[in-house]
Amino acid sequence: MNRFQKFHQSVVVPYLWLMPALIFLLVIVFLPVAVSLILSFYRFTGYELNIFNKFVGIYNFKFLFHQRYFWISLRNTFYFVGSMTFIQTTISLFLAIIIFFGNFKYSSLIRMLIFFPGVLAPVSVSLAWRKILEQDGLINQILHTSYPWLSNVNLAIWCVIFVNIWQWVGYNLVIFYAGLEGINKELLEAADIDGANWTQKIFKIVIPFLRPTIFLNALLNLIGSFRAFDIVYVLTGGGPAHNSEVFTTLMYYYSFAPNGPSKMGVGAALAFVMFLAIIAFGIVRIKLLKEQKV
Amino acid sequence: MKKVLIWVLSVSLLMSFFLFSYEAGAKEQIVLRITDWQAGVDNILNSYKEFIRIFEEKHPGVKIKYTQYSYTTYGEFLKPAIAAGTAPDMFAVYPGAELAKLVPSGALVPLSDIMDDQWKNWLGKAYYFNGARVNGKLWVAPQDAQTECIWIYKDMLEACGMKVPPVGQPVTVDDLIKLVEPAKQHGWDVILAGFKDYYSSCDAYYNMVHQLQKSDTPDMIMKAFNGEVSWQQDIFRLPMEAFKKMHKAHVWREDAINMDYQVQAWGKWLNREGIDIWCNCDWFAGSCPYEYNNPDNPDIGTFMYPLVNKNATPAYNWGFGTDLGIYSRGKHQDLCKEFIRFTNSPEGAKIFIKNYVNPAASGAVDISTIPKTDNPIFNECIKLFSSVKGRRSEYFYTQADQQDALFAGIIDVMLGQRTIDEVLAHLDEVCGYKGKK
Repeated sequence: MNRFQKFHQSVVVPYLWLMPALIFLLVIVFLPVAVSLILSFYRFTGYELNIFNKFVGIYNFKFLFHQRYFWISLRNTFYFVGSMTFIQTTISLFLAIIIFFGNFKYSSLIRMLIFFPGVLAPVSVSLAWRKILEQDGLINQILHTSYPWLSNVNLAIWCVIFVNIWQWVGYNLVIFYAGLEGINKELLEAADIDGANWTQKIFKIVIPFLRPTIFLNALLNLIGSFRAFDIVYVLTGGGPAHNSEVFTTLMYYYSFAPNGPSKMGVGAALAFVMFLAIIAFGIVRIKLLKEQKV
Repeated sequence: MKKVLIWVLSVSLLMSFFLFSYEAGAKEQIVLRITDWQAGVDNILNSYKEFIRIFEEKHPGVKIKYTQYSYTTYGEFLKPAIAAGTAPDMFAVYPGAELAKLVPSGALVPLSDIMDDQWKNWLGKAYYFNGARVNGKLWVAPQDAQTECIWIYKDMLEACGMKVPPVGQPVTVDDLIKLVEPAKQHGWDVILAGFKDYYSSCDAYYNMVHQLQKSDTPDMIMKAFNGEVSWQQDIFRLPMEAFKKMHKAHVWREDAINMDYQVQAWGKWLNREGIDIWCNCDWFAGSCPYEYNNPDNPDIGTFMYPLVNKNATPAYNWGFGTDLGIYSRGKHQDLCKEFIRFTNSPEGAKIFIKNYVNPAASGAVDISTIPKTDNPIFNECIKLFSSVKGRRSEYFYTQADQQDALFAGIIDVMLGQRTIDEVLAHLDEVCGYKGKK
């Protein structure tokens, strides 16, 4: 086999096979990202026949950073992402450990029940929770109160976070459960013989063993929570008065909301800011993975 | 297995061939597309079905495809369609701010340039509707007129000790507050509101400001949005205080802040959980189920927005719902013009009325003289639209950012997040007011 044939076999052929997927990725992912980035430097209301008509430099970014709503959405996005990454991961890990080591009679039924909300459409889940959290909804009836959960400026975003965790905790739990099934039982038996208590076994054996799974779940939650739109949109619509906006809902507000500001350029700028934030998290994650050799 | 697969493939191929042939055949026809955001509003849908039927009969080679989107998803359809150059031949545009953003793009044909005098006369006062005008030209043709008001259960109101006021005579904000206790004893809200929709608070606010104007003109809201006058004066402060007072007194439930009125508030109103429902238009005439809205049911009626105080002049909210424009890149603009002209004609107005839609073309038909229909809500709408005396209160403005600042301000005031003075000062800033405070 000469050099040309070798090159053909090792480079040309594999890339030819990859080509359809690469073209698909280019058209569906990279092209929109690039267009969106370019759009963020233009004044585009969404109605212009020529999208790239009025170049405004970094005006859209300046405008965005001067908006109170941007800072509210930034804060809420971090609450949301942080809660999903840490609280949801912790709760699901805790539940997985209890169910796995609890040896419950109906363990698979319990797992199924916890996982069940994850198979429902987020819009349906949000609509149901919107009814439950209404002033004359189920929660207030049980508590004998009439608290406006979703209309409270400080509480609205936490209600959204709660519903999101409720829906997706089962998804993480199933992954943790699969991870737990891979633990070498002999290690735990040896720890028993050595007189280790449950706390020691969990923190010295189980959690270190599950570290890759914990990272995987945390990463999935992080990416998923950045994308969250439907739950916020249906439960609060970003309100009251924009106080529960996250990046995605604010992007929608600037770009498409009926009777909204119709500033798609600003929406694109916000999308780019979000893109940078995800990249930053991605870099941190890669570094952590490298350091911990997970 | 192979045989089944071959059969499935062959059938699919045949079907696609026939479909293609059908499409190719259909291409010989002229197809005009119309879109609006009136999904679920049957009276509009039925009117257009009739317009289309008559128009197609008159033009055998023309087919009209009418698509209704929901109010919230319409922008998601229209904006990409215009940017991609695939907008429908005729499309509805939200009057006011949305239209002001759309016109500079050149996607619309200026209707006032191509309208004949007869058409202008048919439109009557709708021809001068500010929400449909940009740079002194009319860009979209109003289709249906709106009489925005509050819907009430008369029997529930009377059960709480208040006489139903005649059409055009509003009660005061304080009268509504007095209703809170008796309503509570029955387990009702005084007003069901959906403040999640910005117009639910803003339209009532505009009404209250207009009540305090010395005359119909100048429109003080318009002047304040343009930064010509300061927001920091009583005419703007008092309506905000009225909102705060009503919210604090629980005229509506606290979570009205997070409810939308067309689904949540409306559902509760149909369940008779509240006496009134705040901010509704002629949409009710087509959406209210027959068992509620029939000639034998005398319990449903209208109420104007409450007066800020006893000295205020009643104001009636007046506007137009669907407003149709012609796509400037469309191939058949003459046909589109003819179709829209037809919807504004006396014949079109009759079709609208037959379907309980209040026609915008007030010059085409005198709605005040039409006989009573079997739709009591529609009858009240017409009475309100054609006979109420008071300040004219239009509620479509072109300044989107300023309107949003006002909306957020009203909600913040109700929630106690900001003081009225802070909100008014912020509005001055957003609207670019530079004069003396």
